[in-house]
Amino acid sequence: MTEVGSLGILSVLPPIAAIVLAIWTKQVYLSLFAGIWIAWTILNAWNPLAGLVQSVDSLVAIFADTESTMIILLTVMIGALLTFTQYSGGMGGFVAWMTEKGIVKTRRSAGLLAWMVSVVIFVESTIGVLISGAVTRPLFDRLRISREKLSYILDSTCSAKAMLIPLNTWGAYITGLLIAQGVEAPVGLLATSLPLNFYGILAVGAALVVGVTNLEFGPMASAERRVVVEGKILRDGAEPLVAAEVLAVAVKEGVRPRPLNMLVPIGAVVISLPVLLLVTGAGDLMSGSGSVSAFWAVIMGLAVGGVMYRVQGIMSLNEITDMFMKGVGGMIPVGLLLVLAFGIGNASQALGTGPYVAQVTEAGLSPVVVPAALFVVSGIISFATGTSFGTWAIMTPIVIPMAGLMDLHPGLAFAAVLGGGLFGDHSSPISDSTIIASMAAGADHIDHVRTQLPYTLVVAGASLLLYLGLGLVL
Amino acid sequence: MTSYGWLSVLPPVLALGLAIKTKQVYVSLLLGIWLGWTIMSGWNPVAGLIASVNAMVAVFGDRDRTLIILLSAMIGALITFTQFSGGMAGFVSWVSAKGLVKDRRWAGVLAWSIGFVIFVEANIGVFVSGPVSRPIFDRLRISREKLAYILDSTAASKATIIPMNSWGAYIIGLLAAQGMDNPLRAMLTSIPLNIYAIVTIFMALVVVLTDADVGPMKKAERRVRTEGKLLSDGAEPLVATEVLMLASKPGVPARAANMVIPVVTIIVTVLIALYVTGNGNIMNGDGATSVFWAVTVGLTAAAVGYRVQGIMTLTEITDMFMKGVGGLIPIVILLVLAFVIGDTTRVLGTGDYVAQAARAGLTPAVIPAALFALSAVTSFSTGTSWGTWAIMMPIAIPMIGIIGLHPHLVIASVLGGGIFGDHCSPISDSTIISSMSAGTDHIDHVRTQLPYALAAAGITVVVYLVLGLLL
Repeated sequence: MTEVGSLGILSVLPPIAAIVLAIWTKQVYLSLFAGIWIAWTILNAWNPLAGLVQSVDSLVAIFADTESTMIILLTVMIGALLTFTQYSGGMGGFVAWMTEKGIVKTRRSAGLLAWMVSVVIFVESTIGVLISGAVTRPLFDRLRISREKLSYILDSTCSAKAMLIPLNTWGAYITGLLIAQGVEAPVGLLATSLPLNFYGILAVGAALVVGVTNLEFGPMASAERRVVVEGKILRDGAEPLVAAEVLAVAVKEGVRPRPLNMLVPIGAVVISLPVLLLVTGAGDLMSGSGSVSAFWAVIMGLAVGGVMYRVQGIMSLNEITDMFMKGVGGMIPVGLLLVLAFGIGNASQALGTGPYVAQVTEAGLSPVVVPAALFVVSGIISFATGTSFGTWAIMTPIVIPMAGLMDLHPGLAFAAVLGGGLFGDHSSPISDSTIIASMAAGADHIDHVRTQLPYTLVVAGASLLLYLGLGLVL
Repeated sequence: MTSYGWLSVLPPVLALGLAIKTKQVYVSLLLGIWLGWTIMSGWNPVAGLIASVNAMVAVFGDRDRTLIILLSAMIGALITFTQFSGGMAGFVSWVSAKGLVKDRRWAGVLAWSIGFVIFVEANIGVFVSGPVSRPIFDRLRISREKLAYILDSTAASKATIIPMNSWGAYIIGLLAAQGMDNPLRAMLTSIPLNIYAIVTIFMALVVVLTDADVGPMKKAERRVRTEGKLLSDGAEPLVATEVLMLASKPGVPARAANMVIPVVTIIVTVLIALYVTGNGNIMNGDGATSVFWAVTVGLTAAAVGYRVQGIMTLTEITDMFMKGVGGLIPIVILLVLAFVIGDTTRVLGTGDYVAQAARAGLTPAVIPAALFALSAVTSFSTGTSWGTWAIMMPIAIPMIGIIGLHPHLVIASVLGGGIFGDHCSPISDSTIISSMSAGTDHIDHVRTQLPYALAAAGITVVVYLVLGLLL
C-alpha cells in the first residue's frame, strides 16, 4: 500500500470522479461507489480488481465499528418512528389539532399555517411537506393563492428545518459523517454549526416573510397576479404532479386520530436525548456520545410508542412488528447512502485528500474567503446532483481536515458545506424534496422551480456575503 | 465462566413458551435474550437490557455475520431484479411451453417442478407455480387441495435441500455462531441426512405420479371427480396472491435468460470463490465471503444485462435494489435475533447443561430422533422453521461434542424438525402462501395435507432411530 499523504494531486481524483459522475449520470449511489473504487484502486497500485475487493471489504468493515453501526441502525429505525406515528393516527390527530387551533381566514394566516405545519413536523424533511400540502392546499385554493406560492413555502421549509432541528435522520447522518472524520465532539460541532448555517436559516425565514407579507417579485409576482386577476390557480397548460398522499402511510382504519400518539413518542426521543448525552458525557452534554445517545433515544421513542399503541388497543403486536419492518425497509436508501458516505470518507482519509486540498488552498486562497468558497462549491455540487446528503458525503472528508490544517473556525467551515448542500436540495429541479414540494402543493414542477429560483438565489447571495464577512471576523 | 445450571435453560424455554403462546417470534426471541442477559447481569433488568442491545450491535462487529446479513438482504434484490425484468415470467412460460401438459400426471409434475426449480427463495416458487398450474388443474379436474399440497411440499424443503438462497446463508450463520469450524461443509453434509425434507419432496412427486390419495385428500379428489367441485362447499379460498408479487415492467419482453443468467452466475461464482478462498479445496472455502461475492457478482451481471438490453434504467436498477433489500428486513432482523440468542445461550452454557442432562437421561442413540421431535413440535406450534432453528441450534450443537453424536445427523434432525412445522403448521407463512397461491380454503389445505406430513415425519423418526444406532 502507498504511504498516506504522498499521493498529491491523485488524492483528489476519487472525489472529483464521484462529483463529475454524479452530475453527469444523476446516480448518486453508483457515483459514490465508483469514487471509492478509484480510491482503493490507486491505493492498490492501480490494480482495479484488488481495488474492487478492497472497496467492498472497506464497506463491510464499516460495520465493525460500533458507532458507525449504531448510526446506521438508528437511522433506519427512525423510519419505524415515522410509520408508527402515521399509522397510529398520531400525526393525523396532530395536524387536525393544529388546523383547528389556527382559525385560517386570511391569506396571511394560510401562508403561516403552511409554514408552521411543515416546520413543526421536523422528524423528517418530506413528511411535513406532504402533510402540510394536503392540509393547506384547499385553503390556498379557496383564498386564491397560487400553487407556486404554496410549493415555495413547502420546499423552503423542507430540508432546511430538518437540518436546523436535527432530531432526525439528518442529525444522525451528519453526526455520522463527523465521527467518520475522527471529530471528537461531533454533537458539539453540529450544534455550533447550526447558528452559522445562514442558508438554512435565511431560507426558512424568507419563506415565512413571503408567506405572511405577500412580498413577491419576478415570476412569483406574475403567478400571484394571474391568480388574483384571472382566478387561475395554475398556469394554463400547467401539468401538476400527481398527489403525493400515496407516498405516506395511511392511518389505520377506524382509529381515532389523537395528537398524543405522535407527541408522546417524539417527546420521549427529545427528552431521552439530552439525558443520555449527559449520562454518556459524564455530566457534560457537549462531550456526550451522540451515536449511543441518539440510538437509545430512538429505541425509547419506539418502545414508548409501541407500548402506548398496544395499551390503547390501536395496534396489535403483529401490526407493531409489521410497521417496524415497513419503516426500517423504507429507510434502506438512506442506510445505503450512509454506508457509501462512510466508505468515501474512509477512502479520502486513506488517500490524504483533505490535507492535500488544504495545502493547495492555503497556497492559493486567503483563509478569509475559504468558507465562502466552500459554500459555493457545495452549492454547485448539490444543485447539479440534487442531493444534500450526497454533497456532504463528498465534501465533509475534505473540509474537516482543511479546517484543522488551515486553522479555520470549524463550525463556520462546516456550516458553509451544510448550507451549500441545502441550496441544491432546496432549489435544484432534480432534488427529491423539490419534486415532493411540487407534488404536495399540486403545482407544475417547472413552474415551481422557476418561481422559486429568484428567492433561493437571493438567499444564497446573502449567505455568501455573510460567510465573506464572518471569514474576516472569525 | 460462571455456571448457571438449570437457569441457563430459562431463556430458550421462555422464548419457546412465548412464541407458542403469542405467535410473536420477534418479541419472544427478544424477551428470551433479555432474560438471558438479565440472569448474567445479576438479575438487574436494566443492565440486562443494555447488555442485550449491545449484544445485538456487536453482531455487526463480526465480519462473517455482517457478510451473511448483507448477502441475505441482497438476495431480496435478486428476487425483485428477476421479477421486474420479466426474467421469471419468461422462465415460467418457457417451462410451461416445454411440458405439453395434457394429463393429470403431467399437470402435477409441472406444478412440482416449477415450485422446485425456483429455489432462489422458498415462497417465490410457490407464488409462480400456483398461477401457472391452477388453470391446468381446474381444466383437468384436480382438486385445489392437491395443488396446495404439492406447492407447500416443495416450498421450505427445497430451499434447504438446494441452499443457494437466504436459507443457506441463514443456516451457515447459525452454525458459524456456534463455533463450527467449517459451517458450509457442515451444512452441505447434513443435506442428505435431512430425511424429512427429502421424504416430503419425493412423497409429493409420488402422490402426483400414482394418485395415491389418503384420508381427507381422497375425499377431496372424489368430490372433484364425481361432483365437479374444485372447492369444498362453503370453502373460502384466500385472495389471489398475484398482488403480492412484483409485476414485470410493462412492455418488457419476458426472456428466461434474464432470470437464468444471474442465478447461474451466482452458482458458478460460489464455486469459484470457494475454490479461491479454500486455496484449491472447495470444502475449506470461506462460505460467507464466497456467497457474499457470488450474490454481488450475480446482481452486477443482472444489472449490466438489463441495462444493455435497455430493459431497466440505472435509476430503476437502484430502486429495485432498494426495494428488494427493504423487503427482506424481517429476515435480517430475525437473523440478528437468532445470532444474539445463540450468543446468549452459549455464554449461559445452555447447550452444555442440556447435553449433560440428556446424557444422564437418554441413550445417545435416540437423541437425533428426540431433537427432531422437539424441533417439530416447536415449529408446528410457532409456524416458523427459522425461529425454531434459532432456538434449537445453540442447544443441539454443543451436545455433539459432549455426548459424542454424529454432528451432521444432529444438524439435519434440527433442520428437518423445523421444516416439518414450516410445511404443515396452519400458522406457517409458507402454508398460508400455498393456500393463497393454489386458491384453496386454508383449513381444507391444512386438513388434507396433515396425513402426508405426519407420514413423512413418522418415516423420519424411524430413520433417525436407526441411524442413531448405526452412526
